[in-house]
Order: sequence, then structure tokens, then C-alpha cells
Amino acid sequence: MEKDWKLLSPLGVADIMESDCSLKNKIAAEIAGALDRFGYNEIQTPTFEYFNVFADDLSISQEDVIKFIDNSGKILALRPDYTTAIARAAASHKSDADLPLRLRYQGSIFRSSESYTGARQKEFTQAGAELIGPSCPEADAEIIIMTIDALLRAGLNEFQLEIGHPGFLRGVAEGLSEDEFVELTELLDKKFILGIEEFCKKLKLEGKTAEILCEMPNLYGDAGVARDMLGRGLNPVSEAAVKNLLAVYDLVKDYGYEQYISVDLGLVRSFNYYTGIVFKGITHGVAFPICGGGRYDTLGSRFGTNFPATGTAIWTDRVMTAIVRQGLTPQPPKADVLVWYSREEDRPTAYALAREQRREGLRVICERHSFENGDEVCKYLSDHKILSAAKAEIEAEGGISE
Amino acid sequence: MRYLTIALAKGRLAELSVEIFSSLGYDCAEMLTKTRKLIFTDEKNKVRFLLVKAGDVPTYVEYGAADIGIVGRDTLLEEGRNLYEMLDLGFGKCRMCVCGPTQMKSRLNETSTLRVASKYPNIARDYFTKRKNINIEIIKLNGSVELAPLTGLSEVIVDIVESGKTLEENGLQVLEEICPLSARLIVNRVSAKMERERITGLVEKMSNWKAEG
Repeated sequence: MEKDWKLLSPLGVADIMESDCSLKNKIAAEIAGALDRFGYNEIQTPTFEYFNVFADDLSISQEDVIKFIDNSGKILALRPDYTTAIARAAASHKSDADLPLRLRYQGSIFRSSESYTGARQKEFTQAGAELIGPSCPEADAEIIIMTIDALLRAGLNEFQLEIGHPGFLRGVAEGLSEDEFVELTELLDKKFILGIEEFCKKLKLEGKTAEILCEMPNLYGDAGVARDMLGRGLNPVSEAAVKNLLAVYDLVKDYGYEQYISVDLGLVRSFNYYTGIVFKGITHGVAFPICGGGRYDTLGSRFGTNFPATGTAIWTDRVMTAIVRQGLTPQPPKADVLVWYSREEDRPTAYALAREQRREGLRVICERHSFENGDEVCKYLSDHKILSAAKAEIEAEGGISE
Repeated sequence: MRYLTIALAKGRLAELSVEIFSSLGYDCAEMLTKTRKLIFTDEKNKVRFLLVKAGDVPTYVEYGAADIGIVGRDTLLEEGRNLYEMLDLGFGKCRMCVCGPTQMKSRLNETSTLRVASKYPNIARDYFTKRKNINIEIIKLNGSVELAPLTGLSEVIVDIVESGKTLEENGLQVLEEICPLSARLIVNRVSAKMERERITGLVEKMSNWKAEG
């Protein structure tokens, strides 16, 4: 007797029951909260749109998009990608006067094919943000810093955001035909050195070009990997890409998040709308990226506007898988700020600072301590799960130190 | 230290792989004994070996259940998984071919209803539709594929050819070569980064082993 199929959900989608749902909601709320604290306002776009919105993108294959037809015969698509949808919404509602725009979103994306990276499911939850307007490295760094913040808040502590730049390969591979470039990208994406060597032989690529191409699969690690490349006499396109990457890297380092980032110059395959910095996040226990993003300065032109933009997308389900597999049930930080003072006479200043920050909505702990140096403060913060600290003194304004 | 997990394709490839790992100083002698165990641990090097069916090696590696795998390129092409293919190990050399009776050679490009029997439906479909632009009917078989043209089940087959002996004994021949094959070292995308030192160390050792022949 056939099982009653009405009781099952279709292949690739699933019910999420109480305990999973509550965990997922907690993680989603932490991520959303982190993006919110950077001044990003949430918007919602429709779950389905005209297929044309997504049809121009070669990186989402047509078979992957779940389509249906409306009463007038137009083809509709369940949102396969958020960034494109947000760019469309921004282009249709906003003008240059509104820039810079800081927008965030959370919801489902849908992909139907099994061939799509890691997609055995068909519905995924994503949370993300887009910074539209500025084209400076500070904007890219803001997106990366905010992504790290969101992952930390969600409860992860061991992960890496690998930063790359498609311009590096474009410079090195200058002069290749479109087909050759695609073939090369596939080999680099697999880090298949022998294949790259054969490719160079076949196209009679020699000297520096062949040398760098064969090294590319191993060009990942700390910023030194990128810095070394600057001494190699790159062509202007590659050189600009490496310099841009290093600028962003240093900004993230300035924020104090260097331990969470690394460089991968061999990061070559992603959405083809990316024009600058790209990144993806990896962690133990999940074989697929937990987040990804980058700069897409020309996507707006598909919708008749021209604005530089950069953004991030976090795969909420994968973050949840990682948290479960790493045995880290989410423990939200106990407080946002530790306001501390060492001398009795500093207490009024400390109270004033704490009051001000609590009024701003921060969760503040105000205590007297006798920390000798920054390391002691950091240790206390991590032991007590507090995000940041501010020292209050009569004379000087208390400065926030991580 | 975390265990590094290596998935090996059961059979000839696993035997060859065990020889290499032993010569590189890993303790996997137990795998050569008659045992039904599927997991073998080298405590000294913190390495675990898994014995899995060839077709499952890329799956274990893609999902991160194994960090590293050794598998034939035929399996990789058929499975189309998303992973790093870091090394051509050079052993297990053979070819993926279209085979059939001699008279099919001239008709291969003319027949409008070509039936192709194969254990590798994806490779067969890719070759005929993408590279040759011929629409075919694929008949998936699980073994003794040579029987298909002999019994009229299909016109041709797509299969691995090593010496060509089985073909010859059954009155078939290679009609077209699709691609050369050999064993590959594959690595999970996340492991390659998170366990970089140990994995690049192993890849280098194996690469040197290959260079020394």
C-alpha cells in the first residue's frame, strides 16, 4: 500500500520542529541584531519575482531556479538569490540622493538543482546586508567586520573569512579567450595544479604568467601571501586588485579581527556579478561556506541605475549546523559593555557613562576593577562573555577598547 | 589533535594506496589483513582510514566526513562533486571509451536513435550531448556492460578500458576515446584550509613519492 504522500513534504524542503526552530530563531535574532547595530535597516522583498530579474546571471543556472507562470503568461521565479533582489528593490525605490544605503534582510532563498554547491535542500534561510553607495575599501571592511560580529554573536568562535579578489586572476590571465578563461577558472577552483600546468603548456603560456598561475592554488594564508605578490612585477590590473585586498585586510585588522580573516588569491569562482573584494567563511563541521559576499559595482546597471555596492550573506542553517556539531549551544553574551573604574573618585564618571550607554539600549555592567593592562581586560571579557569594555576616569573620556 | 580522515576506494586502488601510506610511514598494515572492519586508526599519526565503495569516496570528502580521499578520475567525473583535486597520483591508469562492434565505428555519428549502455550515465550523457551534440538513450547497467551490444540491449557502451582484453574476447573494440583516467588525491574544501599544515604536508609527501616513481 502506498504511503499517504500528503503527510510528507516535497523533496528538498522540511518542517522545522520546536527545539530546532527555537535554536534557529535564537541564531537568526543574534545575526539580525549584529547587522542592526551597524545601522542597517531591514527590508523585505517578495518571495517570488519576474524570472527576468535573475535570468541575466550566468552563475545561477536556469535549471536551479524554481519557476512558474502567472495568469498573463509571464514567468515568475522563487527568489534564488537575495543580493539581486535587494539591488532591484533599491534601484526601483531609491535615488542617488538616498546614498549611502545600509539595508539588511532575512528570509528564504530557493534553488532546485542538486548540482548547486552543497545544495541538497531546496529552501535555505539567509540573513545578509548590502552597503550601497560607497566604493572605498572602508565599505568592504565594514561588511566583513559586521559579518564576523554576526558570526561571533551567533555563537561561533573558530571560523575563517577568506578574502580574495577576482581582479587578480583577470590581470594574470589577460588575453585569454572567454572559453579559455572559464576552463582555467574551473582548474583553479579545483586547485588542480597538474591540470593548470597542462593548460599553460597547451596555450604556450610562459614566464611569469605560467609561474603565477601554477602557484595560485597555494596562494592562501595570511596577508604575507598577498604582500609577496606585490614584488613580482604584476600587471596593473592584478596589482590594483592585490593592493585593494590588502587595504581591506588592514582595515579589518585595525578593528581587531585579524584572527578571523585570511587571504585566498585562488578564490575564483562565485557569482559573476562580483567586481571587487570577495569573501567566504568556513568553519569546522560544515563542508560548505557559512557565509559569503563581496563587491558588485555593476549589478545596479541591470536595473537602470549605477551604484557601487558591497554586501554579505550568512547561511543561517549552516551556522546552526556548525554550532550544533561543534557543541556550542548558543550562549548569548551576558552584556555588551563592561564599564569599569579603578579608583573610588572615578565612580561618578563611570555611572554617567553606564547610564548614557544603557539609555542607548546597550546592556551594561558597571564594576570596579584593578586591571593592570589590556590583556587582563580581554581575559575578563572572554571569561565573562562580555563584548567590550570601557574604562572610566575623571579626566579622560572613557574609550571603548576591545 | 583532530584525526585526519582518509577515505579509500575499496579494491585495487585501496591496496595500492595502503602500499603508499605504509612507505610514507603510516601504520595501515591492519587493512591488509582479513578483517571486516571499515575504520582503521593510526594513533601515532592521528590518522583514520575509511574503506568505502569507490562511488562514495567523493561523497564522504565533499561532506567533510573524510578530509582526504583517493579515487579514480572516472568516479570524480561521474559524481561531479565540489572538492579540491590536488594530485594526479599516476597509478590505476586506464581510459574511458566508447566501445562497440566494429561496424558501429562508421555509424556512430549517423544513427539517430543511439542507445548507450554504461555504469557511467553522466559521463556518457556529457560526452554525447555536450561534446558530440548527439541525443542518446542511456541504459544504466551495474556490471558486465560488454553484454549489452551482444544482446541487442544497446548499440554501444561507455566503459573503462584497461588492457582491452575483455572487449576483444567479446568481439568489441574501442570506437572513440573519451578521456584518460588515473587515481586522484582529493581534499575537502574546508579541511584544506582548516587543517592546512597537515594536509599540504601529506600532499607534498605523496607528490615526492610520485616523483621518485
